[in-house]
Amino acid sequence: MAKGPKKLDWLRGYASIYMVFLYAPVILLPIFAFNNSTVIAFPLKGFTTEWFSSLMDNSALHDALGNSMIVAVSTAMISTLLGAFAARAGVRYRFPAKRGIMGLILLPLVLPEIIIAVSLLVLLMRLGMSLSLWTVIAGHVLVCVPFSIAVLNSAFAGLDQSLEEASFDLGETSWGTFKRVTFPLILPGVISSLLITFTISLDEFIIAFFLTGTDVTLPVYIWSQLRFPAKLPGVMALGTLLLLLSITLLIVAEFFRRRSAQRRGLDASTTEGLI
Amino acid sequence: MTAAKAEKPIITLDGVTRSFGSVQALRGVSAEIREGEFFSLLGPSGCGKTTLLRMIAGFDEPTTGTITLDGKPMAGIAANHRPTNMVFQSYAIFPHLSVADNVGYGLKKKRLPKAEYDREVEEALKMVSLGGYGPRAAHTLSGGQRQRVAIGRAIVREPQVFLFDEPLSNLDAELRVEMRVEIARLHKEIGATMIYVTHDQVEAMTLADKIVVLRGGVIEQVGAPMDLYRDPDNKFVAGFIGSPAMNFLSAVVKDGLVDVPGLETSVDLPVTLPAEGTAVEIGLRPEHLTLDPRGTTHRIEMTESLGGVSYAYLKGTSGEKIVVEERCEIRSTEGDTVGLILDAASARLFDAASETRIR
Repeated sequence: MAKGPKKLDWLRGYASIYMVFLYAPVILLPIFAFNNSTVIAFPLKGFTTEWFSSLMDNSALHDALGNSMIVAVSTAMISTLLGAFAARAGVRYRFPAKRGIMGLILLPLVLPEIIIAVSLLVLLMRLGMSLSLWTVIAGHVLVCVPFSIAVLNSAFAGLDQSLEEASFDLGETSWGTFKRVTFPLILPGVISSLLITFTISLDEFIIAFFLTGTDVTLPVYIWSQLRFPAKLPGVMALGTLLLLLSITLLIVAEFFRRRSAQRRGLDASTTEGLI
Repeated sequence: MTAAKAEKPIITLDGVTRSFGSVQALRGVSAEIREGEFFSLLGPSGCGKTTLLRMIAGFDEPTTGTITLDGKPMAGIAANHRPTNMVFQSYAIFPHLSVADNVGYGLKKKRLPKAEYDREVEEALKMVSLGGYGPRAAHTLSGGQRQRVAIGRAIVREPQVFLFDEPLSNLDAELRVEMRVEIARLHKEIGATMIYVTHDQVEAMTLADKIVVLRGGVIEQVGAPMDLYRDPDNKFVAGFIGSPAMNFLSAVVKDGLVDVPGLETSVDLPVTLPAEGTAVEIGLRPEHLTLDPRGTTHRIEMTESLGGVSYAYLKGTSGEKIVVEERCEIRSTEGDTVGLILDAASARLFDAASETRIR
């Protein structure tokens, strides 16, 4: 017990350093985004919104953003749909080689992305397919499905099977049961899965870099801008906007999750969530 | 209940079996359930009673054999097209809906006018003593109230057959008695056929018109509760029905009498005895035995006094344990040495090897 306060100090110090390490780079983004200088260095020169306004009329950036949105939204929807099928099958049914199959589906979680990217590129070349946003989407779906399954597994596992049976017993069809019982109850999991896969796809670089054709995604565009030091403050401004977007998305997701947990009579603070 | 109504079988089970891989859950069950009957499937866990109920509901199909409901074979007919509704053990209340939406769930397909829909839901809620609870969120209800919602949800469907899957097993003792009375009242009010699965013989005895005792996927006996109690076909039924359970003492047929070493006596029983020397078991219910203060065969190890009745737990010189019911003013105390007087007319005799009743 005598060691208590000293141990606490040590832990506090550790936690502080950890937080600085995590968030200092993130805080630097908005600081330099408003700095009136093309050189990313202290001391700061002056306040400007010039970099933000330059984003407004950068058509290459707008194209890249548009491409990224197409890729991320498609990836989120496709991988969540596929993830829902796999998660339901894994939770509900018994079939031969189930463990092996589920293990193989989850493998991309630990496979190096560069390997996936290179092998996909080789495969697509062999098949004679031209690179486009669709090839990027295919690559992203491959890495996003395991995350989707992981999130939806708990949603399906928490669903009492007799609820679906009760609905069926009360005269509802399979589709009606899905619409009126299953879907509303797994909705929080579906939203989590959509947000996670959307986020992963939005900032994914390696696969997009290898599989993209003439239409680049936002991370690939940003990477290309890094070669020109003059464009760096613009990237900072862009990063600031993306940061705000992510935080907003997370807050919205958590809000919905807590509300749905409340409606189901669960204690929101003790249930698993995004935050 | 009119006689004509009771004559008509609504469900006929014919040689129903169900295998899960190499496990045989049901091994050929045949029975008839008559219209308006309160029919209980009773047995220990793993006896196949829930499997049978789920096949009647349409969640599962028999491996072989047929189920006929109201004259129509049920093979290939899914649960949502059967005139049955189930009350689940876990209640299966939809947690995201209000009480009224839960109860009205099965009415949505009928597309009733709103006023009529509301009236039917409220009527069902009143029947389960939840009048006015409609707007409440289902997840705020207590266990007993959820149970009522689950029953109300079935009532609005007006099924020909209600199916109950151990509906009271998740409730505490007090609520269980309350809901038992409630279910009995509902059966009287609605008059529909009810099939009730339970492992609790008290529930089956108090509620059912007819009980099927299942063990290991086989029907041990079918009959009215008191018939099973008074006239069991085998040792299993005799021991399963009644609380405290029937006492069994090993005995042997000797000189045309049944020799019971545990009681140091021979009994003349009004049954057709098997051959001399056959090992048998004599079954004696606690209320059919009387303590004899002059005897010395048994020692009272413990007494359990419930007020109107006491149970004395005895151990004989042979080591066999016996429970005796006492209702008179003067009751035994622990440590007493006593003898036993048995009522030969109410003793039941079983073959020791096959466990079947010797009549």
